[in-house]
Amino acid sequence: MVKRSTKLDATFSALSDATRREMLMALMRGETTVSDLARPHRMSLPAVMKHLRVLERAGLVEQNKVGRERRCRLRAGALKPASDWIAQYRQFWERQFDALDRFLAEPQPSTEEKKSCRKQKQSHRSN
Amino acid sequence: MPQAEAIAPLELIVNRTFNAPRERVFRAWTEAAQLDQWFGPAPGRTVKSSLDVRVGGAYRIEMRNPDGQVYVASGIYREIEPPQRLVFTWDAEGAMEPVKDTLVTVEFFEAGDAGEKTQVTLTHQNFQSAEMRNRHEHGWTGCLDQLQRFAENA
Repeated sequence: MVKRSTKLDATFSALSDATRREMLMALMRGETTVSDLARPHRMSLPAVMKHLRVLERAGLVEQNKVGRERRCRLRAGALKPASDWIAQYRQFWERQFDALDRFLAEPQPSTEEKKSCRKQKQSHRSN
Repeated sequence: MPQAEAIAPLELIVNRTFNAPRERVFRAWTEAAQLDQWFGPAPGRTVKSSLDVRVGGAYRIEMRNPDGQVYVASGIYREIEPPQRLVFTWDAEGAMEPVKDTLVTVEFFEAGDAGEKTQVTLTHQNFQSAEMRNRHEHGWTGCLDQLQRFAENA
C-alpha cells in the first residue's frame, strides 16, 4: 500500500487492528504491565511487543521500565490530531454547504445550463 | 450528538437538504463554471477550478482569499454516478493543515414530496478509516467512540 507517513496516518493505521484496539481499551482502565496486557490475547510476548511498538510509534502508548517490570500507559492526547482534523473539516464543509445553499437560491440561465449538461453527458460516455 | 458520529467517530459526516432538484445540485458539484461560483464561501474569496469529471480524472480547486492566502484542493474522481453519487480523493494544502490521502463521498438523495429538494450527505474520511469500515469489523466503532471521549477528557 502506498502511504505517506504523517502523524494522522500513523494514528489511523495503529487503530486499524482489533488486537491493538483491545489493548488501548485495556489501557483506558489504567496503567498495566506488558504481561497483563498480553494475557487476554493468547499471544506470544514478542507478538504483543510488536503491537505495542506500533502503538508507541503512533504516540498512543508509552512504556516505562519499573524495576524488572515493563509498564504501559495510554497517551490519550495522541488522538487529538485526528479529532482536530475532523473538527476543522466539519466547519469547512458546513460553510461550503451554506454557500451552496445561497448559490442554489439564485436564478440560473437555463440555456447555458442545458448546453453544459450535454457536454457533461458526452464526457461521461467518452470514458 | 448526531447519530452519524456514533457509527464511526473518526470520519465526518455532514448532511444538508437543499431547495433544488437533484440534477441541479449534482451539476453545481461537477461543472467548473458552477463550482467556481459557490465553492469559496468566505466574502471576497475567489475560486478557480478545473474538473475532469471522469472516473480516474483529476480535479484541482484553487481558493484565494482577499489577503492573498491560497488553499488548493486536488484529487482524483473514483466514482461518478449522475445525479446520485460522487466519490473523489482529497489532498489539500495552504491555509489549513495539509491533508493527504483522504476520501470524500457525496451522495445526493431526492427529497420533498415531488423530489423538488435534495438531501446531500457528505462523508470525509482518512483512507485508513475508509478501509477499516469496509472490513466491517465488529466492535471497532464503540471502542473508538470511548477512546475519543477519553482523549477529550484527558
